[in-house]
Amino acid sequence: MTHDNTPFLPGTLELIVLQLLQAEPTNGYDLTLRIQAITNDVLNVNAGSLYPALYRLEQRGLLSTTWAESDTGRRVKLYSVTAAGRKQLAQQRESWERFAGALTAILRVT
Amino acid sequence: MLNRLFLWIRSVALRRRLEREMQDEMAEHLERATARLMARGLSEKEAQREANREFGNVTYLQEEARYARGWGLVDALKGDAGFAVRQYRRKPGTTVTILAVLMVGVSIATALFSVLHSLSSQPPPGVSRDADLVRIRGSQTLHGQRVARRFSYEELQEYRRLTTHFREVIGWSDDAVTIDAGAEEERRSLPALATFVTEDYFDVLGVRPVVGAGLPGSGTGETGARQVALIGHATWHLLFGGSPDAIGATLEVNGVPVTVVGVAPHRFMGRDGADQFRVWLPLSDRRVILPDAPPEAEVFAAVASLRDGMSLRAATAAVRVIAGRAVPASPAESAGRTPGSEVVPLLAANDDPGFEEDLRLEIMAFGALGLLVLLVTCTNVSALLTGLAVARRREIAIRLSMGAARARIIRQLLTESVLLTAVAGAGALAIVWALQRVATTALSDVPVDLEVRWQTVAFTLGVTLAVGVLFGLSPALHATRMTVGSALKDSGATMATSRAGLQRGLVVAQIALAQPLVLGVVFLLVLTLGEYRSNRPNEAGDHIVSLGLRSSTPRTGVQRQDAQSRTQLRTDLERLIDRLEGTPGIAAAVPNLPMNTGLDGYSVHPADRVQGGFEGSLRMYGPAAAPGYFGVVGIPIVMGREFVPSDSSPGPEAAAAEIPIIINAELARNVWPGANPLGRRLLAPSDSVRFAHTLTVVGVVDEPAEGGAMSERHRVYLPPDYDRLGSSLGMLIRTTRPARALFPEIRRVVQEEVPGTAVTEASTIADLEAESRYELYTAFAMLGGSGLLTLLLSAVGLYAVVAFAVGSAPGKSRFGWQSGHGHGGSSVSSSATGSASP
Repeated sequence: MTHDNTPFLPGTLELIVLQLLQAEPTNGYDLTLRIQAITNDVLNVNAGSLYPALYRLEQRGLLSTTWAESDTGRRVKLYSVTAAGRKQLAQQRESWERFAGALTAILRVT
Repeated sequence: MLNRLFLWIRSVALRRRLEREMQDEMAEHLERATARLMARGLSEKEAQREANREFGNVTYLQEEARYARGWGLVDALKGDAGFAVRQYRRKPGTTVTILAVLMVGVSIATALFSVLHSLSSQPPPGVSRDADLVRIRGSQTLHGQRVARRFSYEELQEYRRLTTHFREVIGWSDDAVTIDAGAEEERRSLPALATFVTEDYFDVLGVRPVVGAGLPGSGTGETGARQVALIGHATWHLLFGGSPDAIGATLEVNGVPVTVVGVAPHRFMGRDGADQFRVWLPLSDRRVILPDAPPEAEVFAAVASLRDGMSLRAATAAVRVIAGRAVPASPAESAGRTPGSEVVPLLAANDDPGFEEDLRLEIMAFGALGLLVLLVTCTNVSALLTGLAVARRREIAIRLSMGAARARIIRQLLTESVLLTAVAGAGALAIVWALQRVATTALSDVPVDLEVRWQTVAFTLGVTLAVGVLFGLSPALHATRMTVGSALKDSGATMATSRAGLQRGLVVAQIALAQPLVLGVVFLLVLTLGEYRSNRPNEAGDHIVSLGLRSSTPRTGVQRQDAQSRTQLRTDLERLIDRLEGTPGIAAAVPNLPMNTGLDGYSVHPADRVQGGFEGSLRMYGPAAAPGYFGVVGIPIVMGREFVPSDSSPGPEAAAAEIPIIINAELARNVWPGANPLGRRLLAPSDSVRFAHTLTVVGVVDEPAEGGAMSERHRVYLPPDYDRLGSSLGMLIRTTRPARALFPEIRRVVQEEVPGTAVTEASTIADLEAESRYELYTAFAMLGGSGLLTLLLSAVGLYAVVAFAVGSAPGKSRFGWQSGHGHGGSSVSSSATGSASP
């Protein structure tokens, strides 16, 4: 659930995760902070939604993982997008842009 | 799709590690969230509480994460399997019965598949698997029949020049030789098979010697003018006790010294495996070992390595052209003969042109047998599973009433049946593996490697899965079809009567099909018993030696059948007999000659009949008996005389002649009752074209009758046909003391009197009779076992149907009422059996 009660539309969480991880591989906690920061707290992903989504995407071969050491010396698990993930992202972006364009056109009707 | 399946399997396999990583990851998330909140001014406890609240229920989240990874199905199946094990533990008898029936059926099907797969896909033992290795198979059509053909040296060379089609072509010939491995009697004149090979033979086949460097010309081995040989693995153990000192030792092959330079791998046998002693020598040494071998003889076989991209069809077209030019060794051999060649994959047993046709028939026959066995097995197992499901109808009804989905219960029942079949499949694989080890050890000359390969494992896996799903699905579907109310009321009427009827029908069909099988088994058992009873042991069995000799006419290696060789053989035999009879401890010796099959099977009738005598005609079964035969084997002559050296049988093409015969007393009594049989004659029908001889009785022996049919109790002995003497001979020797002690002396006499003749067999008649009895016992046991197995499987099917009928509610309430009202056990039993029958 979001900070201002703005819910995720179904299927958009995977799109968000793939897009952000393609830009920069990161771990689950930092990903939640990034989503909050980029959307100005409009979208707030809790762990109960994020981690199952990450594992599902990994299970489908769209994400890969490595363990690395953070700046603070902590061992963290990094997620990054695979080639299949990039392909899936491109398809989902295209679908979303088509949908968003159609919705915008409807909302302009007076 | 495959990638996702692989990822799922990987995540299941690495589940523990991934679980740990998930715990670490979530713990790290909570730590960082706590630290962030503490940085905002919260106390540690408050920060932890707030972080946990933000995070959510960790346990629930981890459960969600597990489902996201697809572990939910695995956990559910594990739970089902655990439940299944507990269910089966409650009914150990039924469980063991189902497992046993399944194991028998699946192991029979697996064994058949394994043998057929080995025959159809495996190269000869010891040869590496290489898809490019092919056999150049010679054939010839002779009087309408297609038979195998070997090549002449020239033809082999032509194949070797086909460099556009083959990278390499190797050739070899197999020749009978005699080996001397030392001065001791038992190491001299040993019959052996020598394979003379081209220089790249072992390289192309991918065979490396287990000891020593190998033959020259293969990149290894010694060079030089002396003869060298690679010996067989069994030969190495027999002659050298498996010691590495064999390398460098000297053997004499046909009197020519050769140095051992290597030992072949275990079970590598080249083409033939029947001979105990094997040696491989360079082809260039064939002229030395067999100096008189005719160079034009067709004795070579060939294997080749196909060039990349070359197809079997194109290679066959090329070799066919060469085969069409093949010239036979003599004009007489070319009549009615059409030579041919083809290129086929190199398999263990496909050197005969009829192999593919035979294999097709075997696959059809054994495939049908395997399917039948599986069908019988599955029918019985399905009936038993149905019975188990009936017994659990209350449990299933309660689960349905509590909201369990039908699919969930069906999955549970299917898991139970698949688990059973999986355990049975593993047991079946173990049985087949053990049987194959026994067969490979006991039958060392099996021409194909019997192993449990991945294809056999995959076949067993597929069969068990199919059996578990197909024959577990039906009971599962019907067990969940009942209504809750009817199940709890224990009416049982909803346990589909149509299903029960189908089940009964299948069991009846199985029992009906099993009857002829059981009858057939009983018939064979009776025949076997009859044969056992008719084979009465010879009382002097341990005083009579059966000797096998092989005269390989050394220096040629080719079995000549010309008159000069046969005359020489007869002279050698007579000289040997004289020498043996002069040896202390030996009373008499006679040749043990092959039957005159030119006369075998003909019908003859008495030239003059006597009142009360046998009315029909007699079919000839004519063993040959050399002069002195009856004295050696201890059959007394009660009338007339023995054969004398001037008595002989004519050849099949000879003009009509009078042949002296000796008959047994049973024949004399039946054909000429009350009359003197001496001088009486047996004639062929007047319209007989191929048989026009007259058989005249010159003697009668008192030989015990054998067999039940009259024809089997008649014996007609003919004198020998010396024109049919071949290189393989036999002798019977009567001794004055137990014969075993005289074996070394007999071998010494043979070697001295007829050098180059190998003793291929030396056994007493008592030993041969014991071996024959052992084979009968084995056949008896196998037949009996098959019959018992058939009956057992039928009984299991019948038991399942009866158990189902008794276990169904109508049956239980009726039988309970009968018992409660004082009906005896037999009355209740017959009622149960009656309700079980259709």
